[in-house]
Amino acid sequence: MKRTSISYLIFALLVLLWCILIVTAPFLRASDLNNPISGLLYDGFGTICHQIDGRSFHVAGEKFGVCARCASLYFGFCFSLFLLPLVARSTDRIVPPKAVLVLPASLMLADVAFTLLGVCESTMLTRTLTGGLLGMALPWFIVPPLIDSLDRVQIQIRARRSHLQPGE
Amino acid sequence: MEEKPNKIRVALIAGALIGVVSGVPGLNLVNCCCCAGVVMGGLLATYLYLKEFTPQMPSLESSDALILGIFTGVAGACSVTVVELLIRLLFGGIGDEFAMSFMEQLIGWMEESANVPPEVVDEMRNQVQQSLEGSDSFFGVLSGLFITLILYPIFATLGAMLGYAIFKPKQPQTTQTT
Repeated sequence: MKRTSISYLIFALLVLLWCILIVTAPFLRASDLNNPISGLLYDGFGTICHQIDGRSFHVAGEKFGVCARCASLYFGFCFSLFLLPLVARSTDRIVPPKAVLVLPASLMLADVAFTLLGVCESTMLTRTLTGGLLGMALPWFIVPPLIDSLDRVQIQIRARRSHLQPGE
Repeated sequence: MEEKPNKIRVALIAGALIGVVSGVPGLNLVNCCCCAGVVMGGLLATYLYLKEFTPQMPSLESSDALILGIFTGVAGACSVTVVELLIRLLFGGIGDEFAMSFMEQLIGWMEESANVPPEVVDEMRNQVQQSLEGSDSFFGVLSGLFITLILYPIFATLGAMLGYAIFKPKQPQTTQTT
């Protein structure tokens, strides 16, 4: 397996774990209201999301760890992340036009701004769509340089190790 | 060839900005959307770092953005704790009252002009009260620092990578052999 694949795989698994934790929190709370792990997960996600009940997806009668917009963004990110190596053979050779990022970001900002300005209230559908679209666009920009940089760090670590152990 | 610019200085500037955005009541609502304030801090760090490059320096690499993002996140986590403590020390209970009244105004405005449903408004009030109660104790500050020390470097790194992808000057394509 190529080095790139290992870095990519670790990152993809971490993102997948993040998404699983978002969905795990409500299941744990549903099984036991005072579950300490569920409380920890909700507290942790609470630092990065408002977690408003009326704006969140629900499962087993409890809200997700994050709101619908954030959940869609993370799930979209995860989906696109796993799609990335299937679409392009090498994860570090894709440079999409910036419009791919600007368009969904603008749509999400417009959705938020329209709600705040009272033009029209965002719905679950608009939150899910705008969050999901932005989430799906982000990996194409973030992942290739991230994997590239992780590879460089790996190379540096290996070089130092081989320098310390010349017999190998 | 000249050496690359110092990352620490840029990371401290961007980290301080993250601290202000995430620590000042009202402004910290930006982070309610996937830590947007921290991601923007990472993005800004890459932008500022790129501005310091001269033609004599080697070009910016993705590993630079990675390190810059981590440094910025750590600086942001520390500075947000400092900003929150400063607000608490300088204003004490007044800081909480100010934060609460500011949030009440914002919530009231949202209730009237943005037609936000009442249950959502109640939920927001509860969230604000809980966040103010939780940050009272020494343990609350310490656990806050612990969580931000994990989350901020992750999101700032993602922001720095995004900045790398957006701001990095295009280089002439070279023929690649596999």
